Amino acid sequence: MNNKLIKKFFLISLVFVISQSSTLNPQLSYAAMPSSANYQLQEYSFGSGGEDNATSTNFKLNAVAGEVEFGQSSSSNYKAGTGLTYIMMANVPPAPTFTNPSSYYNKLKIVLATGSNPSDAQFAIAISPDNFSSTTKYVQADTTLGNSPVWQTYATWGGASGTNIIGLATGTTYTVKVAAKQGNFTESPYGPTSQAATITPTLSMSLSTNSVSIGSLTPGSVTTSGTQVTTTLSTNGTGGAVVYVNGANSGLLSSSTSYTISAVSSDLSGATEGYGLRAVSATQSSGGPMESISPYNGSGDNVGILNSTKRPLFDSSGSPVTSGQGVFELKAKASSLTKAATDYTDTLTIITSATF
Amino acid sequence: MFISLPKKEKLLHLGLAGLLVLGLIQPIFYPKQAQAAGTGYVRLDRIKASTTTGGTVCINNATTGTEADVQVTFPTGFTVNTTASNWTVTTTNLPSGATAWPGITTASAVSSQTVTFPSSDLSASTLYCFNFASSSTLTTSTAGNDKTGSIVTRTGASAAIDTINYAASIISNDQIAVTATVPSTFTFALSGNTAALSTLSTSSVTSATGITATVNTNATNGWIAWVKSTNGSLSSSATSDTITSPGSSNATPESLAAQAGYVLDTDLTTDAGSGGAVTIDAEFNGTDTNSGGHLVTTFAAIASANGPAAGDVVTLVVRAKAGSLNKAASDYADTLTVTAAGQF
Repeated sequence: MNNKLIKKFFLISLVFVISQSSTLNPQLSYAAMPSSANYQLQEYSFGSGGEDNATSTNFKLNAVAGEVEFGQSSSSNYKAGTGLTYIMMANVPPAPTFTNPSSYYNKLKIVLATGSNPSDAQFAIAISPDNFSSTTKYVQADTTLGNSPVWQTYATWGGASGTNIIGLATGTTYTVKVAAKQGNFTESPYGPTSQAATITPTLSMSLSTNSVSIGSLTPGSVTTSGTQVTTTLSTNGTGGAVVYVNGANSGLLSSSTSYTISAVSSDLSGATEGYGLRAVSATQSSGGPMESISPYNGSGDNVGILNSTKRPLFDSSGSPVTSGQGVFELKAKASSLTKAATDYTDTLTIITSATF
Repeated sequence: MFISLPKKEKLLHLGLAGLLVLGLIQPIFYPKQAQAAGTGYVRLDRIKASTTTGGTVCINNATTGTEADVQVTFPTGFTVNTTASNWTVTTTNLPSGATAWPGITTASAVSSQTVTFPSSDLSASTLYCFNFASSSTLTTSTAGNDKTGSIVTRTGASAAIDTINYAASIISNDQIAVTATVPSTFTFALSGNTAALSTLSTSSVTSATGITATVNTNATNGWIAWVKSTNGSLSSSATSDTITSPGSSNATPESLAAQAGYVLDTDLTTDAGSGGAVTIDAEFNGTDTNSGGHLVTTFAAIASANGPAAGDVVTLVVRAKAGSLNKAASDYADTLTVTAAGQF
């Protein structure tokens, strides 16, 4: 490539950048008008005169004298747009696709319909929790709600993939409608509406039992509880749910002998004495997936400690989950010096919380 | 008019031009991502129905703003103590990855289900947590799922910054009672069942080879061993003579240094660690090779331990010295019965 071409390519690029930069040219003043390779129509008017872009501090004027500027006659079933303003308007966007695809409680998905407007057309999204009877908000660039419309292109609103409108109230039906424009004096009316509803945040948990007997501990042998405990939870929390466990006695305590088989995080098969919990399985109907958390996720006779600290036992991998189940068992080992007693006990507290 | 450029400058211009164009078209292919909504949760210490509880409040806020307080609204049906000063807070023992909530202090107001805690400004995209006390603050509702509440961070003008809606699950019982039994164990073993004194001297004390007694038990209060002499002496059937066990059961060993007689000395051989401490009964705790305890025809304690044993060992040594008038015979004998038990 010779120097001349390189210089030309650079300069063309620079000019292209300047012409497109919103910083240097914050607003294109004119609507997109009919054009060819050599000519562009700057005015539609055939009247006796007028003004295509008069401005003051607060207003801009596009007017014509001697012909209809704007007319909109209507009946109960039809609306007719006449005059210059109507001709310049962007196409009214059809109803957007507005859905709640994943049981969202604070966001909804919207995919705009362009209404055959060109790719540089901009769209504003109005949204209301009461079908626009008294409350109207607008989707902002960060997809939260605000009081003023924000105009962005179809691509910036997520294109065919759409975008999630966030910061919505739970358990609420929202109505949206979209307007389009392509420069000054071209803003269309808002189009037809679509509706979708957020759901209420949900969290449920259950325990399969409230008592577990490990049974008789033969000194030197690891004993596993015959009963396994199943925790079942479901949530639509975007950050998923966690099941925590803590123990009241830091071990198996015999009140009659004042002796405690201490809770440990270790492999009981190689330990002299100890007690702990081991996760057996983690499954779910959908979402998640459920997983067991260290130190409870060992195999064989590896157990995790149980004391006053609330430790994560299972979680749903940071995602909503339906019918997530975590199954665990308890193991203990007595030594030859572990005091004989029939009243070794511990109390486990199982709680859950979900991140919304 | 274009001037010939060095190769480096050509490349520079090409690169700059490429970057400029790339900067313009990039948003077309990678549209601006929506700002993530804030997240958070309330983790109750207890989720049992109608139970007093504390909890932990966490939020990872997404919205820029200057926080001045946070309002935690508990689900309908929860009993919220209306004394704000009860709602003390801590920032210790927080969930993994959490940062202590800056400026969080005792609640400033309680209204209906909503408790307001003062706060300092929070940085976005940081998980902040604090704990609220369990004493006289919150009581859970009846059992049920999807109990909803909210966490709202606010400005000094009480304008909401981030709002997190959450749900809680309250169940009838959130605890599991774990039970286990450690059965009683006790083993006792003697290394032998004969103690031959051979020929007794009238001038010196003869001692039999020691017999060890080994105890294993998980008895909480340890163990005790006893001995009982069948005859209370060494007796000769052939001559009907006896070598008696001198002295009395007075917690003081008897010495045969200056007298004839027959005694049992008990020595501590092994006091196994991690268990109870072994004690030799004073009567049978001979101080030298001439002494031992007075033997009687009823069970007398010879040793004990005050806790479980994993191999405690005591050695039993029979000692005797003939008197000058004891009749010669080869059948002087006695039978000692040694027993032990755990104190559970």
